[in-house]
Amino acid sequence: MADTPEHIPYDPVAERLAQLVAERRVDGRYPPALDDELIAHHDRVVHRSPDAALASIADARYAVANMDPRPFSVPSVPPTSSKPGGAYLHKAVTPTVTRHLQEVVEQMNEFATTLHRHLTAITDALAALGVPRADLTSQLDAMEEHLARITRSVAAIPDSDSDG
Amino acid sequence: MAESNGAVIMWRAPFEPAARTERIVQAYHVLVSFLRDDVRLVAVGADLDKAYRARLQEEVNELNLTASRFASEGEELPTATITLTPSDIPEGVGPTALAEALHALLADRENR
Repeated sequence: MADTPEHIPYDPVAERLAQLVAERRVDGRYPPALDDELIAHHDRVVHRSPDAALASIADARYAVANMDPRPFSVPSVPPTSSKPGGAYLHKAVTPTVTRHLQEVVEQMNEFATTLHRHLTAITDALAALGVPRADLTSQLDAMEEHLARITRSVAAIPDSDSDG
Repeated sequence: MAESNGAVIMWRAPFEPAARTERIVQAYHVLVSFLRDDVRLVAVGADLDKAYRARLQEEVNELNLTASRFASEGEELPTATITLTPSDIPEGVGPTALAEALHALLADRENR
């Protein structure tokens, strides 16, 4: 019962506001569907493809384009040591260790190259999808608002059938 | 249409969807477009949702509300004619009715 119309508390302020709005609509000060249009406009803005996301895609694309696809290398360690005989040990061990490291580095670089190629393809595809969508959304927004203006104009034309 | 200079509506709420700042933006649009054009809107609050704030700014730009401003806590703010928070706005009141309420409230404060 609490939700039935007769139990809604009487609010003279709300009633007065509604009356004022109705009067101004009749006077022609307010366009007929002003409230609905404002709410629809907000909904369109909220659901629009976010510019921030497009900017993030552009950033990611730039970062991927500037990545070194073969970033790994065997570090060069100077064959010196403060320990007695350390330099000799370095010289003896370095070629063997370097050879093994070189193989690991080569595998990592192959993986990085493949990953770079895929990341490039993904970011290119995202950019290609995002830009036309943003353009299309603004075009649809513009068309929707244009249509709303036409609808308002048509609604404002007096009905000739009822006159004659 | 102008009634006085320098009226300021101060909206105090965090920038997050739950605050529904768009309601005051829409009402402000109606107020300055159809009732009086000498009012500024200042929305001030914590940036809890930057994407929401960006969307609101986009909406404000598209409605061409040049006398509105989003501010952060701690910024220098103008003296408010009226200050509102989300709990001041009843549910079920549309932008035009809310604009009428703001219009009446501003006139009341200015005539005191």
